Amino acid sequence: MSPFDLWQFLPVGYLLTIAIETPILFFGLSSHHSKRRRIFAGLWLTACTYPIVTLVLPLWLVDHSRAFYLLIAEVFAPVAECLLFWLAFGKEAKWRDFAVIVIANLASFLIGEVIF
Amino acid sequence: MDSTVGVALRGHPSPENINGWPQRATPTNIAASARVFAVVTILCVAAAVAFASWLPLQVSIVTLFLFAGPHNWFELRYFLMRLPVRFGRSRNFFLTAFAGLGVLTLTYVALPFLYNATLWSEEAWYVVIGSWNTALLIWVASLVWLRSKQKPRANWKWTIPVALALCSLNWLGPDLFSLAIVYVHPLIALWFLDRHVRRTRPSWSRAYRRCLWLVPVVLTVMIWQLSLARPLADDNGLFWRITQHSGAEVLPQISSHMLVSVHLFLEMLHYGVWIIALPLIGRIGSARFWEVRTVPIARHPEGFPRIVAGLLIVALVAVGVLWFGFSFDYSTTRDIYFTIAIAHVLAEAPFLLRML
Amino acid sequence: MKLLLIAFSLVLLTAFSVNADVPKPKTPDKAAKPILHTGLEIVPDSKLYEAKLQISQSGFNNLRAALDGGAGGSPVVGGIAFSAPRTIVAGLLMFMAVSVAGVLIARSSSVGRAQKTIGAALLVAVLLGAAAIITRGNAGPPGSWRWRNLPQALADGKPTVGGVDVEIVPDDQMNGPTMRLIIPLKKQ
Repeated sequence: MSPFDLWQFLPVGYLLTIAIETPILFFGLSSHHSKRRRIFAGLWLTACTYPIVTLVLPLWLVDHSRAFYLLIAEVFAPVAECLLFWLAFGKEAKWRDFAVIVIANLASFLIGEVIF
Repeated sequence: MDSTVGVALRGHPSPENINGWPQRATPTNIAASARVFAVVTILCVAAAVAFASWLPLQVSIVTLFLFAGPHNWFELRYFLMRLPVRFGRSRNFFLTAFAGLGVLTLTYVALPFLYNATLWSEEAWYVVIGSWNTALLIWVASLVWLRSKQKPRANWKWTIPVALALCSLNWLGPDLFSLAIVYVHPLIALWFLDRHVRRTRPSWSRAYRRCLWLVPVVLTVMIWQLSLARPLADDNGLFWRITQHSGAEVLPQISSHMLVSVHLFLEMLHYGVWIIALPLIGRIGSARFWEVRTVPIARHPEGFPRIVAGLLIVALVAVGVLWFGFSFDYSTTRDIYFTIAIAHVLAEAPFLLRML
Repeated sequence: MKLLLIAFSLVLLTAFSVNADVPKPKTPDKAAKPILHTGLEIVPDSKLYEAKLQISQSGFNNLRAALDGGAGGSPVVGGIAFSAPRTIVAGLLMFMAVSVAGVLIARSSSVGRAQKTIGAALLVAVLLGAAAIITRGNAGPPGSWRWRNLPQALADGKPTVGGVDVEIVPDDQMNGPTMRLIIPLKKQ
């Protein structure tokens, strides 16, 4: 894909990803997080990592196999999102939250693979 | 005695305080003066839009010839007015400001020479321009951060993600970002005027801000009316330069008439603020603008009257040289002017931040 | 809760419908996709015996660039030459911008002015970027508005200027190797 194709795909892919991940985070994150915060996490975490996954890594790893790209991208996204969640909410972030973030990323990855 | 510097120094009792802000006048009829100010502002905007839309190329040539140099002189004087005698707590802020100003100006001026000396690809040039724009944004963000440290109540942390987002947009289209600077820079003058009016003529502030709404309205009408106007004839070198400067090459599918007119309109507002509005508002109830002693760092016992006078005289000579250059070879002088003029564009950032 | 589920469903539906908007390659009567937006001037000339189609050099270059698979006819997108290195840098900076903004919003104790400012500023930045990438930002009024006086102007022998989308249409949908000019005229 050309850089222009990637830019065009970015908003579409983002909408699709948050449509999958936000409900998982909304129902999965610890109950002490307010509803507003859970929705915010659903929209924000993907917004952070999606440019890297969609724009940076495909171009950076253009000479590598798709499997290698997927490995890097799907490791980077949940790790970065867990780190950002911890940076944002500090001690309020629990292990359960990190697990839910990983599950949300796995779900969006699998559904994305089915669709595209 | 400062009279040796050749600039009139006959002492009028100046009502300005040491910070450079004229003391607030107390007009007998505040509402009437605000109305007059608003009417004059509206008339100026109307005149600017009429001329800019009617004969953009011709008026652009005349406007630049007449006002480019003088507006830089007034801007220099205005910045000198805002300069403290001792930097004190603002030392780091001013050091960063002047260091960035010097480095960014020098690198910007070096770009045309680099262009002529190298055979880089178009993409390589995009990277060079994108890097310069990024350095500019980092410099401005640093100044904002340093300034925010002096204002404990102000929370300016939001500028960090905004600066990063602008950096990102810049890399998307470095030439478009540079063009955006060309169009946004004239509007900064309106911000200066807003701060000045709020401090010196608070009763005019409301009227001024209402008048500001005219700018987007006028711009929308101009874009609407001129978007499909015939492209301007850029068949000679000078006209071509004017259309290129307004972005005709970067935005080839937009009417060059619209681009030149919009840019000229903004430039005319810019010149109007620096040459007419700010000196006039400063002068009402104040001393004459050409007197060195009206500049606080020249008036202060520990100040630098000779340096200030010297700078203003050198700037005056530069205005004369610019006029001579325009008369002799307009196109080349225009190119040189717009390259060197980046310094005044950059200088506005720290001084505007000092006013916030 | 119901409201929330409806909202999620709407976002999901939007995502799929946006994807569904991409025309399928084998659909026989697909709508031709505009590859370039530019200006068109229709000039009646009583002295000519043959119609002429004149294209400016820059317009022709833009058309060729669009045909070569460039960014298309948007005035803004047309000015953006997407490249891999710059896209990587832009993506990294976008990641940093959104991350820092989110952390600042999350850490601020209440919905204050700063939060709103960050949100508004980022929204503007995102909208600017999205508009540049997605839209074919045809500056000016709707196309039909410019063409509304065409019949009268033709009758008076006066020129009319308006916007035009250049489309490449399969041969079987045209009357041979011809060109077709479709003007958005509303019945009066």
